[in-house]
Amino acid sequence: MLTVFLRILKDRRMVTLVYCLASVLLLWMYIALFPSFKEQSAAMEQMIKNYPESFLKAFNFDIKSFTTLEGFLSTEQFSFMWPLLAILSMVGFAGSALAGEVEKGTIEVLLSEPLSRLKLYLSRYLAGLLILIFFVVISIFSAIPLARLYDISFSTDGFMALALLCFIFGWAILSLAMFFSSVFSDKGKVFFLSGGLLVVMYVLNIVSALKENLADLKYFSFFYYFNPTNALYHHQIDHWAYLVFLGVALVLMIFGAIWFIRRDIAT
Amino acid sequence: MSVIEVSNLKKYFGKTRAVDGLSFEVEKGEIFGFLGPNGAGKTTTIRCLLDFLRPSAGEIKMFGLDSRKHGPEIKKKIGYLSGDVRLYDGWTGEEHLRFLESLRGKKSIGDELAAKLALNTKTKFKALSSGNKQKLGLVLALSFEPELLIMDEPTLGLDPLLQNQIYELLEESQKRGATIFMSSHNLAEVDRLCHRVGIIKEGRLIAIESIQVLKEKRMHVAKVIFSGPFNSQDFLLPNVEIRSQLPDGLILGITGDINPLIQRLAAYPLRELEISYASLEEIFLEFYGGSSQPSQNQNNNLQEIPKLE
Repeated sequence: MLTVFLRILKDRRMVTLVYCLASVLLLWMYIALFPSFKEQSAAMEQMIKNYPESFLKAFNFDIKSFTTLEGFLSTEQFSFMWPLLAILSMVGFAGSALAGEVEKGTIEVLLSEPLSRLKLYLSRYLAGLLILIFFVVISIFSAIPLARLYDISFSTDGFMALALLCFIFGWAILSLAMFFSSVFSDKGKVFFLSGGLLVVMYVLNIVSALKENLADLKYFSFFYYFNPTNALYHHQIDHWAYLVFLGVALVLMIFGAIWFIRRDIAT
Repeated sequence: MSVIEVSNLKKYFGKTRAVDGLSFEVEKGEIFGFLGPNGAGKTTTIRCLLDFLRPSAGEIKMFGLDSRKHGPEIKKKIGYLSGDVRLYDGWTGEEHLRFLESLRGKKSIGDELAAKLALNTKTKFKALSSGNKQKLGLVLALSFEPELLIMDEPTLGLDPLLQNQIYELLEESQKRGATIFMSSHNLAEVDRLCHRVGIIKEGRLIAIESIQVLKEKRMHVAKVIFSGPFNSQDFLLPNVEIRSQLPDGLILGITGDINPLIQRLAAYPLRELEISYASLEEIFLEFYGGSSQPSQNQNNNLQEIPKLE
């Protein structure tokens, strides 16, 4: 099991580094831009007042978005770009980890060896989890030296809370995509279904903020529970976020394992 | 001692019956050929043996153990090669070997086998020719000296030289005590290697025969072009059928011994003579009459299909 675990990490190392690098470069860009935005905060505040409240809520904007580094990063980097990179990374990994192997036929190499399907599934799943931890640590905590580089004040506790929130969010995405990867024999289907479901969730979250009569739809969206401003600025994670993300992660991990153990694998 | 025991194996894909009630045994040390036309259920049976597919019904035992419950334990003793080897494109042969060694926790003889087959293990899989890909697949299948080799059309699409190398390695493995279960379309391959064959059609086992019996049933097709006039009646022998008459020759179907025909042909000056094995499909049509039911012994040569208790 360790062999399969280590080998997938080796095979995915370049892709993982590219995602980490992209995330760090974006973070660097936003941190470098922050002092200019802060200087313009009075004008920004005036501009924000002209927007409808529901719009600001939908896109996670408020005055903190321009007066504090935490507010600025949670709006610019962690509300959209970071989740997008995390989703691409986790869905890409999961699609290749099982369905991609069935599609290419390489899974026969593993299945004809003395390795149970459960161990194969867990080795791939745990490798995905380790990649997620690596991505979270690099893409979030690199903000600390970068902020120091530009002499910007910040709270370390906020980054700790954000890292935890990002980890449980990424774990739920990994489990969702691994579940689809266990069910299907084509990684295209995994990308389409995981990506499609997350796009629908993103739209639901925005629509529910804009239309009062659709407000309850937000409960069906991961993006409602993923609140980086609350984590980074207030150092808090909502209890429902723990419940939803960890619940989805564990339930889909177990269902994915059961499905993979029972299914036919015809390449 | 039976290495493989298959009892009433069924595999359905929805309403399609890919395998429908197969029962057979493979004894230790024998090379068992699994013959049948495309779509007969050969690959499905092999995938059930290896637990890639879960049977709809029936039981598979290998080395006396249930193949599903004891999969990892059984697979320690198995080497597998498919006719369409698909390995990791970005890995070299050496990386594949080291990976499997690490997975099995023991040293392999892969490097020696690769050297014997003149296979460069430093090249990435995607850069190998189809023949070298198949060589690498064979090296991986044999590298832990398995007690049972399962092969799904192992020489499909390979040139005769490489086919021969593979046959030699398989014969060496069998002499070492390995049991080999291989599916094939190729009658010449089966003739050379196998001790017994199971013939499958439409998911059902039609017969299990010793290779000797199959050889006696062997059919040839001869295309004869004469240099001058000829009398087709001269070739109406008991085991020869005139399939078609060409302007300057004949196409003949021969069942069994070809020598009587050769003697008749020797009386004529020939411009061209081509004798080839009949396809398995032709043999099936000749001997099994297109039926998917187990055949009655047409010339009292068929062995009884083994019954499992």
